[in-house]
Amino acid sequence: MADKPSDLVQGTLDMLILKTLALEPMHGYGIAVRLEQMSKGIFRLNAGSLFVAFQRLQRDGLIKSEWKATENSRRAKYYVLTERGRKRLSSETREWGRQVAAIARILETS
Amino acid sequence: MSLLRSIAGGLRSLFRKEQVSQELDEELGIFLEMAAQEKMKEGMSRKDALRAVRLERGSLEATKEVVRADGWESLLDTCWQDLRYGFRVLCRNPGLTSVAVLTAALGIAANVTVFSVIDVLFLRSVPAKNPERLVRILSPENNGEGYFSVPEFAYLREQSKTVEDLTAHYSTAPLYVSANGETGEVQGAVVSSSYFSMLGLRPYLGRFFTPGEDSVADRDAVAVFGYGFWQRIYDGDSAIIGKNFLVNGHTFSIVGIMPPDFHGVEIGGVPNEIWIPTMMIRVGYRHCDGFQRACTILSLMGATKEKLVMFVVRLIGFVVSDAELKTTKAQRHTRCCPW
Repeated sequence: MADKPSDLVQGTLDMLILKTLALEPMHGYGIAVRLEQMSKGIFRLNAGSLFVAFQRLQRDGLIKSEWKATENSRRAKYYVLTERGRKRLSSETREWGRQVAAIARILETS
Repeated sequence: MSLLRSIAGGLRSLFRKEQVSQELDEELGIFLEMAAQEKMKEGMSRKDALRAVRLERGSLEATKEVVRADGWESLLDTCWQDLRYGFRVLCRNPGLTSVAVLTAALGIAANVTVFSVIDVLFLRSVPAKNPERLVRILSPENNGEGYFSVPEFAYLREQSKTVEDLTAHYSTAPLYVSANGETGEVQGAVVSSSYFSMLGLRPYLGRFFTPGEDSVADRDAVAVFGYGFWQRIYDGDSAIIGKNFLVNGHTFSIVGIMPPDFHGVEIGGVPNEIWIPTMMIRVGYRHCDGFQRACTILSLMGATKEKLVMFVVRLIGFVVSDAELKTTKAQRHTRCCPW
């Protein structure tokens, strides 16, 4: 890990969790590890922000949860993307793309 | 939809607190355990791994607190805890508690009393079409109680230029009434025919008495019933217009019914249930002859012609009425006051 872990851009954690779950249902630790891997170690998440996000997403009906056995045959709570969550992910991804492009344009000028 | 879900989720946390908390415990435990296992694979001892995870990811207790505090229900929960704590403290100090409760009770009672007085005196207005234009005309005689006799009223009505619909009323007449086989005392009002137009009233049924019916002494024994009284005595029978009944032994006929929400102009007093003309005052009042100048029992009201600021009304009322009255032998001074 060359870089120090950095903070997430505010409001993006929800979108990233949804993205992770779009691939397959996953338990909390799995989500954290995958986010770290996909960001190549840039994002390191503490349990607090993750679990608050899980609770929020669940209450918004974007994800749901079920207890299942892990690959090491232990019990863990798996999160699953709902249809609503899938729609939200695609709209947020689109919006994020627009914003990043706009910010990049602004930074490139000058 | 998502609001409903959020409420449902919050309620679940509130009412199944143990279960939700246990679930979070277990899930977090697994999370931290998995993180520790990962570290141990890299060769750390279990103790070091757990320590490293706590530093990197946060401790179990701290995380639980963060998650718990995020939902709206935690606010409710905290309030409930505060309430219970407050209650326990109060129970422990009965002396202080009783003093506090007594102080609060006295404070509330005092405020309620003051407000109800102020409400009747200043806030509630006469149920009229233009209450801001109504004034009460007071005579400074009789210890400033300000009452007039029938002849004085008749004179002022002729001469007055400042107010229209000058109206006389005696609204606290105990009348002994026999109607439809029932007998009893009710609070009646002896009023001039302008009373109804001044207040902008419309009869619920029938009509009010006319100026003509209030012009000759003792001639027209007509009466208007209050809505509630009519309901009580005649059960709301609309065929009673023109029927006769007795007031203090005299036969009167019913000409109309008041609107349901009108109970007279004595705010905060006993509601009026029957209205009869000033020309029938001898029936309504028996302590002195109502047609004599010395028998001053009538209150006078009127509507100012313009909507004026009250101090102007007072001034004009004083000056004009004073000038008007100087021509009478009675030499009485009147002044206008806001009702």
